[in-house]
Amino acid sequence: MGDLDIVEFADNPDPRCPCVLLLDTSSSMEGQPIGALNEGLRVFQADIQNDALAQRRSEIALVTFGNGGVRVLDYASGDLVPASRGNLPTQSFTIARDFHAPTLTADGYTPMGEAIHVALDLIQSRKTEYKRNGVAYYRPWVFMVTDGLPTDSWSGGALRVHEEVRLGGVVFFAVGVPPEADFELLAQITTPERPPVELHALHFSEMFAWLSQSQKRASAGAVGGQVALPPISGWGSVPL
Amino acid sequence: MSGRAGWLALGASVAGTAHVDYGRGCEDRFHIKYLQDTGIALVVADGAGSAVAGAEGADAATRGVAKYLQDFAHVTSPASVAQWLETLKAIIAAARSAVEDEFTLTSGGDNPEATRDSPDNDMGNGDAPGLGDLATTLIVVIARAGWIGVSQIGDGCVVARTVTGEIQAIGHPEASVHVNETRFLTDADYKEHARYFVCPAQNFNGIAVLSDGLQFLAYDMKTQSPFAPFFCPLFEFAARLGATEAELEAFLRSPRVCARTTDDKTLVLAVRSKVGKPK
Repeated sequence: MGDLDIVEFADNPDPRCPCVLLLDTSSSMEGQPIGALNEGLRVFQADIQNDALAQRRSEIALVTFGNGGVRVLDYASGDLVPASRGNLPTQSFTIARDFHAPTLTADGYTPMGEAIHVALDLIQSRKTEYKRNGVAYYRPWVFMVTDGLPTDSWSGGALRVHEEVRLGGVVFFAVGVPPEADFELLAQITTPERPPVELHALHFSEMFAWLSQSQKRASAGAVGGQVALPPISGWGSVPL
Repeated sequence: MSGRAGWLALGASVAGTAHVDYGRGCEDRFHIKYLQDTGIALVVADGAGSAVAGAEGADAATRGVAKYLQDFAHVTSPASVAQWLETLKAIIAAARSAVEDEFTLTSGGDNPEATRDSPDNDMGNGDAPGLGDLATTLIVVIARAGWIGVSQIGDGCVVARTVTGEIQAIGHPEASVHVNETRFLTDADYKEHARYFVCPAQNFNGIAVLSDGLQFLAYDMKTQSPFAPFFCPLFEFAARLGATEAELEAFLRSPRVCARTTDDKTLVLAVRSKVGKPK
């Protein structure tokens, strides 16, 4: 095979798969739920970092809504910083290899509507960066986890999710944590082909392991078009 | 350079490491057909990994084209761009028809193969069971009687070597926003997204057809152009006396290729040859 040893490969930047973790840290998450969520984030980090391709290709942003309003993990400082539409940290995505799971605390209200806008804005600006730099990308993901009702106006956010999904610009998942999560409301934010999922018994770790597996599949390029995702039965089910 | 030189072709398809991890075999298919009057046809179909029966779709599409080519081999070659376009459209139609027949044959109310995962198991991929279960892309390249004709739907690419050794893309590459999202032969609007290309063959002495698993190795993504140092040695290899498909397959399986892509990989190479069709 000597003559095929000299075949050279083009040096392209890795295609990227941006994934926004959109997490409810309101007061109802205090105690066991936030503890389990934090453990889940550590599981996510460990799992995605053991995959050679996914750790280079998946890019993670983290948005919380709860204490301190809407906050985004700023990778420049390593802190969660307040954010809003038009006010986003410049380093809001990192490749999975460099992601360090923060320890979140719970308190405050649930500005879910604003948080959805911030998540979509982050994706928008990331795509602009990719295009500017000739970097190919997979369809971005938003993965929202909430255990309660939004305390702000959310219909604008929902409309925007629907429009983005319709245009094929984003994949939007919502997970509701019982007992307070309102699945009928969440179903108005998600789209019919991807209804909200009910988390079983604080199985955050299993959920985040699923998310990591799904990211691996999406960023592996092994599956085209709609990604074939693993079954959710290990941690959740669709209640509606 | 002999005016009557025929073509010699080699092809290989290897399952992507990710496909193997998820318990799926290779979902790419390829086919080479030597035509009378020293022509040749190259076919590559890439079954969608996300479809429950992508491999079957790629099989059916390839069979449909192979059957069309059997008849095509016995009729006079198209002699104008207009005639070529007719042929190229008919090829897509034949492939589509074969996939539809396969779906009709294998689907049905009591056929478990046709059942989609319930929403409880699969976080909402949501499409109703249907032809999309057999989703596949398709590329067909025919070099015959001084012409090259290309029919394409979906991703993958066709690259040619000129008689002066330059490498250039032929056909129309797909413009997709997201990596790894593509059109399929099974889409409802497939006719609108099929692309056709016709050119004189005399300038070219090598043709390569690749499925998208090799795209990041073979193309400069920023300039959207084929990477010559990938293709030149491959064409040289194909022209070498005694080059085998086993060697090509070993290349596609090699660690350095697999380190760069976990997708299925198909590569078909054709070069002009005085030796002509293998026995």
